[in-house]
Amino acid sequence: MKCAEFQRALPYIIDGGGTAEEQEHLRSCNICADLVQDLRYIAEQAKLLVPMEDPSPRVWNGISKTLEREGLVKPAPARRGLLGPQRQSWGFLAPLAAVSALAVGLYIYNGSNRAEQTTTAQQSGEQPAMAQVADDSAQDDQQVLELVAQHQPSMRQTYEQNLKSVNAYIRDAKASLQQNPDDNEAKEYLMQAYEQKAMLYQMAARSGE
Amino acid sequence: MRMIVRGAKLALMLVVCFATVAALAQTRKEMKFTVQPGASLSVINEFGPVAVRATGGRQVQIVAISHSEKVEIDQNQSGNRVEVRTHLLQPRLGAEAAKVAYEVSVPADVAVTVRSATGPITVERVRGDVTTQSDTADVDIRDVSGAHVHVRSMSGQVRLANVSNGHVEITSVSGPVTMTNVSGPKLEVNTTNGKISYTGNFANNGEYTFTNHNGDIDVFVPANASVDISARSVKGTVENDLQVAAPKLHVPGFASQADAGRAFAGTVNNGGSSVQIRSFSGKIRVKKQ
Amino acid sequence: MTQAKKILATGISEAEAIERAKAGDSESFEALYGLHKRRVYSLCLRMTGNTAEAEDLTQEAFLQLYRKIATFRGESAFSTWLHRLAVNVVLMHLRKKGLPEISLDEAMEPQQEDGPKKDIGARDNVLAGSIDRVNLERAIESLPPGYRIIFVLHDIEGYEHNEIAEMMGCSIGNSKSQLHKARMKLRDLLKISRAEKAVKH
Repeated sequence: MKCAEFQRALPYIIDGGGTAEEQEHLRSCNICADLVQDLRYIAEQAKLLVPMEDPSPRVWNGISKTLEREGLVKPAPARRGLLGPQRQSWGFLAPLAAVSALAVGLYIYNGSNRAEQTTTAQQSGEQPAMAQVADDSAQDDQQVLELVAQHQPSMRQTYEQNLKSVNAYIRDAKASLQQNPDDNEAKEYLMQAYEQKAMLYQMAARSGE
Repeated sequence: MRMIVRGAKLALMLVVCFATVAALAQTRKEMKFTVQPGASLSVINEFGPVAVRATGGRQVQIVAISHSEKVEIDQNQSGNRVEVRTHLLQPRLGAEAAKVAYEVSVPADVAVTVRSATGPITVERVRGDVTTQSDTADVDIRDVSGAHVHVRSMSGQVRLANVSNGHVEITSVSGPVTMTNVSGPKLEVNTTNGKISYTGNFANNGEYTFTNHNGDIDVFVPANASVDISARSVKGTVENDLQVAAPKLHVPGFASQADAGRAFAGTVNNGGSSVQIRSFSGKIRVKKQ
Repeated sequence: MTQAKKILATGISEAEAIERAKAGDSESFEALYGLHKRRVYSLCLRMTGNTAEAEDLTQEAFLQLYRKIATFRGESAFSTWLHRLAVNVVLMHLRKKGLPEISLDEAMEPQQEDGPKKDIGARDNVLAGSIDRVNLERAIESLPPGYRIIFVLHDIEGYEHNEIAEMMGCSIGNSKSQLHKARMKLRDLLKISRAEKAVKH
């Protein structure tokens, strides 16, 4: 079988299948084997692309105005009173997920061994432990700083100082929540702290654009 | 005498030459875009000032001044959306070489988004939504009414003045946030250790929330403000010199005597707006204006 | 599965938000938006390659979601339902713009530029281990729209060819062929980018 013939069939067999002749050609032809390796590698890397960007706040502003105009929402109840507005519990999860997602994205960005381990793990059906990812903040922070150093070296020190401050915030907030697991304010502090960190990570990721 | 005159002429020629070289090193680009009501403008300029102000008419007018030929100004208009972006032709160009200064005039109703690492960023007199994102840039937003304002900053100074009737959200890590005469249905400020300072009357029956980890929070309120106010610092201190009527119902964590020095809560005048001030270990001061 | 989804799977928070959103609770709308905005926006951005369009389409996808939320019965995961809705919003938009439809004829004729390498010369270095996220995202952005859509739907978002064929109104064969062309084009772009980097260093 010639390369031309094999490569004509390739779109339909790359994800599995193919005749015995096609399989034999793939085994024996280095050029086609390299091609298939490259195309599969691109597909694998694409699977690891995590959503990294938030839309501008303008998007929600537009949605909420339209929802009100169309009468799809009831006016928010007055949450006045001394305890002020209370966030719903699910809002607590979004910034934690954001930090985790960004951390994974940065692993992949730097093509570290970790990314390869992640790929191998996924191929064998395991899922990377996101809680583990969120806890490995020192390594994540280091990767963020390396990213900033690559694209905006003059900012590295400022990012480092600010990351230290935010990490102190997270530590204090976690300790407070551990002492008082049912304290809504303690949950609020932790959520704010994570949002601050997610913001820093997003800014650093944008510095590479 | 002749020598002196020749010397003076030479000096004058040198001055003119230097001025010409300096002028040549700058590149000025002017751009105009005609937009309809409800338009939006994005300016992305990592290094250098961006100043936006509202004027009349239906044109967005931009003047961009750059100092290096390794920098390009990309512009794009798609319907009612305009985007202008500084594009570095060489990666890792230093901040000085990459710097571009933008002067922008917009119709008042245009929604403005500005992203700059070093800024400064100034936005004045608009009625469209304002969104800024910056690393160390100082951000100044003033005379904005009826619009949402979103500010995200790492360590620059953030100043808002005369902003009313919109939702305002400010997130800063270590940069101070200063608000003068800012009111609306919602104002939310979060910092890690950036100082928060508010001077105003918490008008509009709005919801006002200031939260930080360990910066100071200073609030100056006129005696005629009408608020339900609570303030607490978990490990820091709280001072208050407003006349506050004790809450009618017991509010957990805000008992009038037990948390003295760390928390207080109560109603001033009729209690229109809700004001919630929280710090983990910073100092909170609520003072009469 | 992300940590957030694991937690939500054992709790009822998102389900509660959906029920309250059906009743018109504005905070629940906002909570749902907060949970899903990034994924929807990233999908729109990758498929269109344009920030402004992606924002408009994100807004439209969520508005359609909220208009139809009363009809969500929980037969599929909420995120799957929302995701499919967002894909349809983007595809409708691109059709209105006059996106070139995938043609059966195009798939059947061998394309010169994708033809076999006739010159068996030195082997290129393989790509494995040399792609970083930024370069890959940039390369995807610069794909022609038809290739980009298929690549995003299949390789990033995980749709199968039969699903893509149904959404795009083409055959499974066309979907596979376009995907292959997209990957080949990306391969070329990534190799050029790697070569340029090597020259600089």
